[in-house]
Amino acid sequence: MTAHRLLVGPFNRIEGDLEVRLEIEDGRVAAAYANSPLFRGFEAMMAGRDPRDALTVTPRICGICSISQSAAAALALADAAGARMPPMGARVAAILHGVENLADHVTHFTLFFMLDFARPAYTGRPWHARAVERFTAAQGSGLRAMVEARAALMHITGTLGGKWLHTLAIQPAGVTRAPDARDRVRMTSTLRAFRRHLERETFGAPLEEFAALETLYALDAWETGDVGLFLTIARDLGLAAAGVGPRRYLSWGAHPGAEGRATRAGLWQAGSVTPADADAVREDLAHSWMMGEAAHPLDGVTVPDEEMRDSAYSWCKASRLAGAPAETGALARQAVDGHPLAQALATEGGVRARVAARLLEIARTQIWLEAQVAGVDPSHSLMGDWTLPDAATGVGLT
Amino acid sequence: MQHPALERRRLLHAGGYPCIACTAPEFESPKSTFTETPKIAGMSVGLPTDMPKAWFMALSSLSKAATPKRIDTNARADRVRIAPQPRRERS
Repeated sequence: MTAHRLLVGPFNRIEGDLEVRLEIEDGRVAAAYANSPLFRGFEAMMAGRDPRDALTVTPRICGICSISQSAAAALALADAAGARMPPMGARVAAILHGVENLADHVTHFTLFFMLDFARPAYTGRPWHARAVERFTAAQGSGLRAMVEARAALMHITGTLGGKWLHTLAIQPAGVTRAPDARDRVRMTSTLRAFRRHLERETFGAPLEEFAALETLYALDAWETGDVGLFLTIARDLGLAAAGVGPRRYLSWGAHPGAEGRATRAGLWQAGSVTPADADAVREDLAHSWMMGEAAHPLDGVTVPDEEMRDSAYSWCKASRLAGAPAETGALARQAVDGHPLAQALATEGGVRARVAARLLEIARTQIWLEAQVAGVDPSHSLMGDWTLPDAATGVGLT
Repeated sequence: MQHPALERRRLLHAGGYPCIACTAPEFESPKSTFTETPKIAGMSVGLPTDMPKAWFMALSSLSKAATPKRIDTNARADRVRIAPQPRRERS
């Protein structure tokens, strides 16, 4: 028996605030400890402030998903104040949210994930030359095409949100910028250009064909575009069996909009979806450098353990649903929504499943966004009135 | 509560919401809510460092009085309500 420890990190893909400690026995990982070496404490920053400041403070949690944080803050304030967005306001907020989601997915696939397969460690693999040509850092043809296409897609965020990151456009009772007819035409042509990019580079075929895949067998037969290259690599390296999660998937539903959410909410487990109960969420502190007991986010406190006790190893709280971990993200959203391919992937549950589900969500979100933008009517009101109550409780879930 | 653009207490950002000067030092600790400017009798409590209060009062009331109706209306709406018109020909 050989046992040793490996410290992976800091990861430099985004900010470096992640460190993973691996305990390895007989060439396999026996235990993994994921740690955030950076204490954030955003909850503590909000205490004592005007609740409306949540719209400014919470989006700064993240430089990637700031609109999602913004939408959650606006929903929580709306829930507390009993405010509602006019349907067109909700539609515009959902478009902003969806565009960020789409941009993040293509960034992850191209810049954070596929990039790794261009490393010299894989020299000699039959697919390596193609991976080098497409995904070498700062040089790959796939990378460059994606960065350009993504920058153009983000024009929609500029049009509707004024800027990205940290827009204040999404408010509890609507959005602040009313797109006119010219904006709608521009957004339509921006989306059309992004579809061309996806169909030419990423999928190598119409998006509807990928979105219509129903089985793992059909997915395996996909050969075109970077998706085809990814599936070839996944087969060769056994990515389907790598990194299997708890196979318990939670989604509150993507992009709250005019006609409800873009995807259904629920908890997927062993092929069946049950309603997800937000009251059953707990933040577990057993291995966190945090004081206090496991509690619902409404009741919990964020008091760091300055002693950094030995039984803990992370500045993160661990979210649990009804006492057990649950996976979130594209795979969860698509499986809970009931897409047949995503459900098959949810059972598979590994690295390939997560990446393939992200690709599926790219295709479906692009199609969904086109329909949302087509429904933008510049004559409608986008903002209603709301009053902040003296005391209230609210929850915002995205 | 009004549309943030309607309050018109801070500079209006292109996105239709108030500019919170997020690149300025100490922006994270404003004297009040981010999207509102604290005022006494219509005058901002905090002024730019190079702006004497008397100047500011004079300039501010002058600019308020001189604001064309079109700009005043549009700045308080979520879209352009009054489009710019060509000037009338001088006779």
